[in-house]
Amino acid sequence: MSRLSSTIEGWRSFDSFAAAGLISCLDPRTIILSALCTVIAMTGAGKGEVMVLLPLTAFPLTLLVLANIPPIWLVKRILPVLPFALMIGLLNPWLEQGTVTLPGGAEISTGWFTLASITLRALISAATALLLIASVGLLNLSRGLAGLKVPALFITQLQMLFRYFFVIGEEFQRMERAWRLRSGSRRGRMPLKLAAQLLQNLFLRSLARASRIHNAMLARGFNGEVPAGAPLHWRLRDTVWLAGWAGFALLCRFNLPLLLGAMLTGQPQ
Amino acid sequence: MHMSDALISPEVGLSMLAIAGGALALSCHRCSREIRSGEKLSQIPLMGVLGAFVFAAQMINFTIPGTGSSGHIAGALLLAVLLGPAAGFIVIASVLLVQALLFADGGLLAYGANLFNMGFIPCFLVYPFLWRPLVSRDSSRRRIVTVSLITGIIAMTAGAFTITVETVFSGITTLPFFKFLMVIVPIHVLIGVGEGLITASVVLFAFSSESGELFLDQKNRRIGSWRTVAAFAIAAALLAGMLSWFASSNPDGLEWSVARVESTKDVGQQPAADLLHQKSAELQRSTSLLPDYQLGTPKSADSATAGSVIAWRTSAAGLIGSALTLTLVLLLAMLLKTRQRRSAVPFSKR
Repeated sequence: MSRLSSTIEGWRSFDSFAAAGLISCLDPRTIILSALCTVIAMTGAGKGEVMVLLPLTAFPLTLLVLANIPPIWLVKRILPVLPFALMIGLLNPWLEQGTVTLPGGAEISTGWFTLASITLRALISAATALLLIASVGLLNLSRGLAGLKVPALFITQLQMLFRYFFVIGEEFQRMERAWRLRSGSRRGRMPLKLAAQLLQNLFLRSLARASRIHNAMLARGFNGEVPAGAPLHWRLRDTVWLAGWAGFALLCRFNLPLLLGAMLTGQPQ
Repeated sequence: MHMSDALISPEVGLSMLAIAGGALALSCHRCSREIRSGEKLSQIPLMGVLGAFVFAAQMINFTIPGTGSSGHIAGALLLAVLLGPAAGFIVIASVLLVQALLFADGGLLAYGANLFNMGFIPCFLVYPFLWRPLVSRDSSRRRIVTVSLITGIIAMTAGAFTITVETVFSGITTLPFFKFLMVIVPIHVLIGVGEGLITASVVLFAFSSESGELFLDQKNRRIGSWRTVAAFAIAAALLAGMLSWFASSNPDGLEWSVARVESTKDVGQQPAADLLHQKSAELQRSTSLLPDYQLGTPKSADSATAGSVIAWRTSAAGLIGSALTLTLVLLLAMLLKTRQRRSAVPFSKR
């Protein structure tokens, strides 16, 4: 399956999760803000910190469970993200001069900790972003962003993009498939000249489509604003959810595992 | 060329989010005004469809000339040429947000950095300062291709450069600045060739097509106050970045005086006398975004390269701080302007 086809299929699968699950009972603003708290706490962890990051995996895992999303779906989408993070951190064990003595007495480079930290960060951030959209849904996310005072024109643009990607994408999918079936042994990569010609053609079709859409919108009384849908209501459960995750992120900032470990073992920190 | 949350620090991430978010708010404000006035009502479906077009175009991997690798179009320069810098920036912002959420390309906190690298630079720096002054209504095909090629390369290379700066200043990776730069820049120069050629190809097609009238207006448009704002932004950023190289690492007058009195070399590391001061100092250290006007943990001053590292870090703090200040000032100005306009509306029309 080509990248475009898998993208269209993948995009369709996102909206199938959003309607079900307990997450749909919450205000989308709550989920967006709690995801941001988690990501900020994650990026605030020290360079070689691994222990601080571990409890933060609780947020994407909670979304995964409450939105009834199959874990294999998440794994398939996270794997393509990892190589870039690994590429950046892979040389750290050799580049970093410092060493750490492990409890067994063996000495290893501090670079292994930074590599593990970078990998864990990539996993948490990718899982949080993917599960945010999968659990909330594309249109609810737009409503949530509008509720957070993101400019109306940007929200309209997002909704237009959501709606017309399938139309334009499927148009291009047919063109790409036609090329693929006739391209023989050249797989995946298109010659630059041909890519430019195909895009010219797609551009012309997109313009024609935009013109038809505009006429249809005008016929329905379009005056420059797309209706936002039902207003959002902030409830007590939203406050509890947000306060809970913000507090948890703050605790993680102060190394929750170490605090808990010290408390349980009675050892000074 | 997306930056990931895994490689960015909260200081860099939030600063870039403020800058890119401010630019997005201003762009939306400007475009909304034109759309509400009714003169550009068709802009909304056009922006939506061109966003979908760029999104689909990014899925096509073309062969990078002269190498065995492949790349894809970023599209911001193309959108700026077709729709104008403000509308182009809004469209690329929506594309990048969808990419961050649907494919985890980049991240939530790195969104600002990605929007700056892939949207702000082509739309507000490369297009108004290079593409637009060099292309006029009567420009030949050859000139449009040449200018698009050069600006495409510059946009991609500048984006790759800012990725390197942001990654190194975030301090998560150990890769040295110049080594990282040498890895990332050459491939982006080549991707820029593809970006430029495809931009030229679609732009020429757009100008000569039946719907070309839509875009010819854009071709002849004069760039207004954005140029002035962008020029001031660059000047302030460069000035702050360079001046901070000369910032003294010695304690300031007050610190020096206290140090003399208490016979200490560094009052910044002197523990506070009582418990309240100690606790508040700890709290300040743990919550401070720009501690001591430097980013991350400064290296010890006894190593041979420590001086240069501190200078770079100080520059980063100056750069980010001034950019943030500029954004806040611009936002405040916009707010005041809006209020002023509202208060200017006659009472009968309220």
